[in-house]
Amino acid sequence: MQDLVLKDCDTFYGKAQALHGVTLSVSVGQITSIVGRNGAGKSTLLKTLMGLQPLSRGQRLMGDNDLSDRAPHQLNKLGLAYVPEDRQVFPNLTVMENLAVSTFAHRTLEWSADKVLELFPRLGERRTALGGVLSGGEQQMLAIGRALLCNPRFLLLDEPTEGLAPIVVEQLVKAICRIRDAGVGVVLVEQNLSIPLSISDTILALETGRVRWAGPAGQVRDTPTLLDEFIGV
Amino acid sequence: MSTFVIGLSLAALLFILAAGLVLVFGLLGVINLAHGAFYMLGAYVGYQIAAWTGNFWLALALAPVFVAAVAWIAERLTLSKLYDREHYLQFLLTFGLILVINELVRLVWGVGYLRVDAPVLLQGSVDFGTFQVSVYRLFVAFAGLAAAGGLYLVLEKTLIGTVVRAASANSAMVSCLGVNVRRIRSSVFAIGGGLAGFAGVIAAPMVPLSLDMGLIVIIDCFLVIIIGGMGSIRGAVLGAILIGMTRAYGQNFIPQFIDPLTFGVLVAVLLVRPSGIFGRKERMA
Amino acid sequence: MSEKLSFNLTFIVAAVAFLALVPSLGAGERAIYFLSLTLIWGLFAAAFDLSFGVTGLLSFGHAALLGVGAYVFSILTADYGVPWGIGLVAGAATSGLLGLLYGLISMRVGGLFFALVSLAAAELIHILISSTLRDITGGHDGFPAVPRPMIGSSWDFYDNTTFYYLILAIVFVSVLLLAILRSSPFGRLCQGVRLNPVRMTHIGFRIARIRSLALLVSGVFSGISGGLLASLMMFISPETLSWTTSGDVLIMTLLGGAGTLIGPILGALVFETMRDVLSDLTVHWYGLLGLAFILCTIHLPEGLMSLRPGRLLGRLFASRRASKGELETILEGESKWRE
Repeated sequence: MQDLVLKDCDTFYGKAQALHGVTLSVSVGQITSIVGRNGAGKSTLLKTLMGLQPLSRGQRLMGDNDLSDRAPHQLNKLGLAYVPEDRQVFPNLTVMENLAVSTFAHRTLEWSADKVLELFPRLGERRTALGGVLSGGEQQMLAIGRALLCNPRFLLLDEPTEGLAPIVVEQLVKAICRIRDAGVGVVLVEQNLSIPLSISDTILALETGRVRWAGPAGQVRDTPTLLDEFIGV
Repeated sequence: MSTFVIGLSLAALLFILAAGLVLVFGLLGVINLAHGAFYMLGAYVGYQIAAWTGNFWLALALAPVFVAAVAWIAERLTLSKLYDREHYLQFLLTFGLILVINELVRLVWGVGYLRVDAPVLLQGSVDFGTFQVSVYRLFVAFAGLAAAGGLYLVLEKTLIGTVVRAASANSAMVSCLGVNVRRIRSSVFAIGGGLAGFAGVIAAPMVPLSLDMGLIVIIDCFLVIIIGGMGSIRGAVLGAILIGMTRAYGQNFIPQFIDPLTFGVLVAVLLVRPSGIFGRKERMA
Repeated sequence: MSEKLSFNLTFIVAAVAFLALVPSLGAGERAIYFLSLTLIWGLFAAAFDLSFGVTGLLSFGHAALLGVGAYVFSILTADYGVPWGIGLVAGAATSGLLGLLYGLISMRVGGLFFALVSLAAAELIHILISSTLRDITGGHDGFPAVPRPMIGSSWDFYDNTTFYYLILAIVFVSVLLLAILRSSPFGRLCQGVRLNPVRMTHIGFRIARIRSLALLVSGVFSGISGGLLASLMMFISPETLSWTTSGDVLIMTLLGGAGTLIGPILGALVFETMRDVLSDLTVHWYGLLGLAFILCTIHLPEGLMSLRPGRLLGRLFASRRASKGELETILEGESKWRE
């Protein structure tokens, strides 16, 4: 099984350093959560994984393959799929057209449009609606569905539950677990701890671009105050 | 009525040109100043093919392909290097392209005026009793219609068209879905060039070929796009009809004031709707 | 990109001192004429940069600003016997008004669309002058017999060297004014409008007014260059109003270094030199220039001025990524004077 690994990575926004020597490892069929305060670098970490942020130091590996200098579209074809914080559905395309875009570069294998609609029935009801008129929750489902149609080994989710109603959050969490059960390695970025605690296998705490703690979620469940200094207000 | 058909044929020509510009602008975010130069290149290459083979239809088929190839090469060699830089630099680069293409055309064909004859099939006019209509102009009008229809079908009904539309909205996200956006950019730029070249060949039997034919038509083209709303093909249709008809009827009644008139139409539209009739939010501030 | 007034002034005075001596150093007629032409284009480029490099308004219609000034000057002095100086001022004023009109346009369309509309406007004026108003302007054949000045009985301005000194003086004063303007609070307002128009609006500045004013001034100085050009050549043709002129001044400015005072003037020198030298070698020199321009946008977007020794060292040691931080630093630097 090929793990997705970042080794000792630095990344910059102009002159400002966003990540310092970050190392993490993600396995398929598991949920790895990245937690931390605002500005800790969580989104940057996902972008770096996806190749949207260049690595100024360190490596990006999948198994034994060094993918440090690959572009996002290449990483996507190698098994990485990304859902950004603002979802970024194509506002001028319908739900079905949004999903279709993924089929341009990917054959239908594990995941098909039908399977996605089965996971998110609401999308089926809205199949001819334009991306721009969907609700927040629907856009989130669409963005995840679009990513799934890339048949990813790893799914990177940036704050998927942000700003959504509790009922929708529940549905999403269930869906994420089903995705994990299907064998996809999920990297979940969340601001608060509750969802990561309930569904993660591994947790990583980030503060000002550095990994402050990394380990099995079980440990955090046993010692709830373990991460307080990095997450607390 | 014949004025109406002339207006339609002008509108068709302007639409084919504008559509290419809109496509390129939508995806690459660049206003290609060299679009008029591609148009001119198409006309000259079309002339040459027709001169060698005696076959206008062959010219119509091949010249756009040639221009598309030139556009593709230009994009790969130059424009793509400015992919993630400010838009105004890309804009300026396309200006440089005009100078180079102009010079190449001058090198090969010289400065004189050239003429191309319409194919025998399309010569002459049709008699509708009270008025006569040039066959060729009807052909041009239909060509415009066909182009519009074809573009609509490809953009709305095919997968590649959907991907292009998606990339026009958000190319970074499209690349996160596995699509090599750079290649698509080059292809769209080439298609834009091809459309301009096609317009050039079509226009050749109607206008004298000269080194500044590009400028004459590109300004009208820009007006069409600004009026119709940048980034909107629907807007290009409307803008093309507006400008085409203005030119045709203006030529009939007040030939000395056509240009102020067309400019006046632009000003009027801008006063009422600064982003054009179908304009979306400006892509470039 | 701070406009160091002291640097600019030093350069201007040094350059003018040198140029004033050139005729006595044995320069021939042709060289003097070349320098006269270059000075005029240099002024035009500096005027253009006020709009483009300083205020961020890319105009493809500056040819009209040059040409209208030239024609108004020529018609008044040749057909109506208006004194040379007054004619020049009238030409400059008309161009200034036209610049203001461009400013009005900029209120409705921004950025690159403004470039297109200004192109259309300039072409309109080009057509107006070359055909619609041909009874006044002489049409496509141009307007001949544009006079040189008659100032004082001992100076013969029909002698190119004498006229050269007058051009030098006028251009000197104009560039001086431009230098002062660029470093003045107004100049910095214009920079602000270029760097961050949204923020400027929030702070409370009327960016539409600032832009219009910048275009007005740009027009005035373009008009002066137009009048000088017509008087130098003793002739003006509608060709001067074609898009190639707008393109030429853009090339000069970018090649030399947009956003600096000296860059565009330098660019004018390089351009005119290339025109002179290359046109002897090949008739296709304009295409080569286009190629050079393309390479410039890719590899040297800040023009020759970015090769200044101090800046060159800075660039050698800066990584590609750091250049994005540069913009933030510039923005910060610009906001410092405001706070």
